[in-house]
Amino acid sequence: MSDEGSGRDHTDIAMWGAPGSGKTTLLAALSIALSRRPQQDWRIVGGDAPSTDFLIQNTLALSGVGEFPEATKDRNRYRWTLLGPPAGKNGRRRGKPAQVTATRININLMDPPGGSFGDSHHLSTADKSELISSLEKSKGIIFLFDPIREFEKGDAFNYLFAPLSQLASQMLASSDKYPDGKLPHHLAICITKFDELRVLQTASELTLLTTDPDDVHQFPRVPQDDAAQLLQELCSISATGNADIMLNTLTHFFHEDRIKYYVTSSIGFYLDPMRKVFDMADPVNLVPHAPLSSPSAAEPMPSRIRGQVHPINVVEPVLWLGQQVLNEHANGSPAG
Amino acid sequence: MNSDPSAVWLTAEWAVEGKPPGSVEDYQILKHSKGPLLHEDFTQIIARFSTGTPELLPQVTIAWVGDKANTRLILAIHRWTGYDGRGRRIATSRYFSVLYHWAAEYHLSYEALFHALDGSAPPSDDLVEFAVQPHLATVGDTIRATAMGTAALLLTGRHVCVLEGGALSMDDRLRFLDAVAAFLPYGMRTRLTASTWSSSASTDKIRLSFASHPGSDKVIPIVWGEPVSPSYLPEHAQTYLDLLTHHPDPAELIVRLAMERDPLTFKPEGCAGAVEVLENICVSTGRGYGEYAVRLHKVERTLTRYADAAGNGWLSEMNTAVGQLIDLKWSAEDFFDAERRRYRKLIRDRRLLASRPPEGMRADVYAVLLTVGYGQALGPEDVEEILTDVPEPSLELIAALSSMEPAVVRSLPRLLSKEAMEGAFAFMQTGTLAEVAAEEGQATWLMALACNELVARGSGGRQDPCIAEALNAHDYLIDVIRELHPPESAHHRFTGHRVMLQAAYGDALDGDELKEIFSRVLVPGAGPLIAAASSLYGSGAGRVLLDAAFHQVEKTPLPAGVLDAVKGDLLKPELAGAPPKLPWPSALHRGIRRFLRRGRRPARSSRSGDGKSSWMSPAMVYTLRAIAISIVVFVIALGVGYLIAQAL
Ligand SMILES: Nc1nc2c(ncn2[C@@H]2O[C@H](COP(=O)(O)OP(=O)(O)OP(=O)(O)O)[C@@H](O)[C@H]2O)c(=O)[nH]1
Ligand SMILES: [Mg+2]
Repeated sequence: MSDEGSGRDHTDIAMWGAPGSGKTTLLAALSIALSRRPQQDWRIVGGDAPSTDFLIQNTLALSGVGEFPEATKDRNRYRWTLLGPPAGKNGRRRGKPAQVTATRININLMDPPGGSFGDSHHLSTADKSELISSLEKSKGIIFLFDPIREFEKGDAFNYLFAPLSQLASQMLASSDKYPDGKLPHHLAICITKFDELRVLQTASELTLLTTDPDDVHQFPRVPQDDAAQLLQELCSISATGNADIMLNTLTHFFHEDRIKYYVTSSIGFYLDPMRKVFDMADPVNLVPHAPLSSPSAAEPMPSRIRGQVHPINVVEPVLWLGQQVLNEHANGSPAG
Repeated sequence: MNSDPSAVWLTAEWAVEGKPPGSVEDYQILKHSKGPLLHEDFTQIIARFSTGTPELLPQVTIAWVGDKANTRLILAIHRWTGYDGRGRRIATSRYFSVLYHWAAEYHLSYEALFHALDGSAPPSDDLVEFAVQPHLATVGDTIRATAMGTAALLLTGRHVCVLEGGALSMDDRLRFLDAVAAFLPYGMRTRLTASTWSSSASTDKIRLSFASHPGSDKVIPIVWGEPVSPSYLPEHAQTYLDLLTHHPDPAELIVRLAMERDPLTFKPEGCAGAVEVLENICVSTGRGYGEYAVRLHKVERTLTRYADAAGNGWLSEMNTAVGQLIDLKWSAEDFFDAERRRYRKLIRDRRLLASRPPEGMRADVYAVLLTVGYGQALGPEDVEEILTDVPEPSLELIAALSSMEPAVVRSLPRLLSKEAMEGAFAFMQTGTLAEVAAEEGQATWLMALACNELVARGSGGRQDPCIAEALNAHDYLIDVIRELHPPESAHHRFTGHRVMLQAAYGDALDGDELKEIFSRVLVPGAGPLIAAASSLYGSGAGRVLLDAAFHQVEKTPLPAGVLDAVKGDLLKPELAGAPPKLPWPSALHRGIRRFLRRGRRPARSSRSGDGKSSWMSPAMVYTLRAIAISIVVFVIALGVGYLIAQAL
């Protein structure tokens, strides 16, 4: 898709992650995630017809028939507005009831095919340079780390290093706009597919699992502060063992105080419809398709979601990025 | 693969983009032919003409690559094939590239290419060989109008997306793309991209596609099943659409457009070129259709130029435009209805009939505008429409309306004031005046006004040759004069004719003129006319009259003996005597004019008032003599008829 169309009042946010890491599914689960929040504080609306369609169709597919989005074939862009509770104090002014103005976060989300980040000769040069300029324009990046892929292929670094180097050379080499030599973006690093057994087990072994006392379903969570630790652990058991350079690279290029870690699952854990409480003995919400480890086995099958979708940390990274940019604007914004 | 002897065998380069089943990698080129197109070329093609993340497959995308002799048409077929390592469906796209000049040579339709290539199994490295039917798209009636409208929309240079076509089969959508292409010169396929389905975003990449939404406001959306509303077409595209829709034989048009293989782009020059191509096809189509193209262009452009000039008061520009409109060599009957509607709309929208150009130009302006916008079709409803648009018409406009269709004058009094009507007569063409007077069932006062104006036009030494012509064409208004004056005032009929003849021919008639008049007198009630004409000729008028009568006899194929005998009989008696020198002073003239103006009421005052009644007696004498002569002529004519009947 063309890179035009990002409205001036829209915050550009880019999805970044290897093929199949769960970028599109995370976006597809946004509506459901918002409506499942106990606070019911934020809503999402489309800024144009295709963006609205995306929300509607994917919400219906995920929650209705348990289907995942198709693999992305072209750089997609969505314009959404997050509508939230009024910001700041809303006192009465001179006896009149205060006018309640919803907080609006307009985002312009770019969702490319994961292959775009690879160093592949299948990409046209135009495609590559368009991707880099999109990243340059973005204020926020949602970086997806797919632990399953890392167990199996261990190539997360390959989908990070080349584009990051190009982005850095474009933004940092020539100008002294960024004297500290770091990229100005806010970065939400999301460990995806938390619902997968291997991820859940790793977190459990590290005793990072907690539950939110307000959560009636008692789903396990990894607190924000422990997410980085889980990531480190997952990187260390990666198939190639170079995932740890990936982490170092990220912290090298971006301001550490603009990075936040999230342990996410777009579909969440399985919930028995009768008992309605999470069961550690039966957590998996994905109907298994042909195992990758034995490709010679049965024909690959479509992935399906087993039960209801209860997204975990899907809205949070998006909201956090949106709010960071809002705050920057309010505070006269640092460079970038 | 295809043993049909009418099929042609061609080769195509190819590439397959997809994923191996179970793969966790992204889409990539899995294999490709080892022809002139390299891996990078296919990479470029795929990136340039991507239709986005697939929603519904199969789909077909049409594109192009290269230029000049290297131009290739690309046909991509997208189908679901198995699942990837994440359990997602794999959309495999097979790209085929066929040299443009082959496709053009055999006028291959996209549908034919699709059917020929879809079944082909790419060999390991080589080019695909395939058999294809060299046939053009056939465009069914149901989609023709939409396809034509869409073709015209594409000539705006903008992209077009068809909404709400999701329920159609892929074949139907492809057939529609083919139909649109069929209504463009074949050469535009060197730059046409089209897809049976595009993601909204990709409508910016693909010139013509079915989609759920237009990707941006640069893309023109049309809704499947709804007429393409061409109100926003620029002139050249509108012309193109008009030429398409008015062509008498769409099937022939498709054949002719398919022969136009020279590459054309969708840039302004290319689009203008397409219009030119179609114009040329139409010109050679015959049936007067070709001129339509050229005329439509010119008339509209010139009308617009006139409107702009009139709006700004640029006189010389106005003059030039009117001159050009008059110079355009068409006749109003040639106009197509739709064409005239467009002119009329332009004239009404720009309120051209309400404008008041300088007086010298007005008659021409209105005449030409009415011919262009209403032409032969001007009827009472049109007049009402015009007078609703222009509630206070200039006199020249009324005159112009009347000359368009004299019958219209009858309805005018209902719509206009009497003063306006009277004034308008001064601006009517002479021929119109005679026609208005002679119109059957015409109101007496309008007859009188018309006669009055005719006389006025020829008086004061400025006779108008058109008057003679107009009178002659309407039997010297014998019936009108008779209608205007009661039987008891035969002398008023005489003077009526006499002043009319003077206006037409001057104070004296020559032999030829008299003959011309007498050629019309073998009708009842011609007495006063014969008298009036004779009074302006003098001695020898009788001879001319008999000559005129004999002329009728001569036209009868009689035996020579009979003819001679009749001629002898007929011409023996001669009327002799000098023509009286009748004075026709202006006072009398004025009296007659006033009388005419009042219609039936006899203008006695003109005689009694100035007391010069002595002038009237020779007139009376002449009238009576003329009546006598005409009776004689009739008797003779009857006699001749009887003789002839006997002889045969
Ligand atoms: N268990 C689990 N699987 C997930 C989750 N999200 C995505 N997946 C799986 O990962 C697959 C790929 O997800 P996508 O969202 O399409 O991945 P992507 O990053 O957009 O991939 P590309 O578009 O190919 O770059 C899905 O089809 C699911 O099988 C999740 O939250 N949990
Ligand atoms: Mg995706």
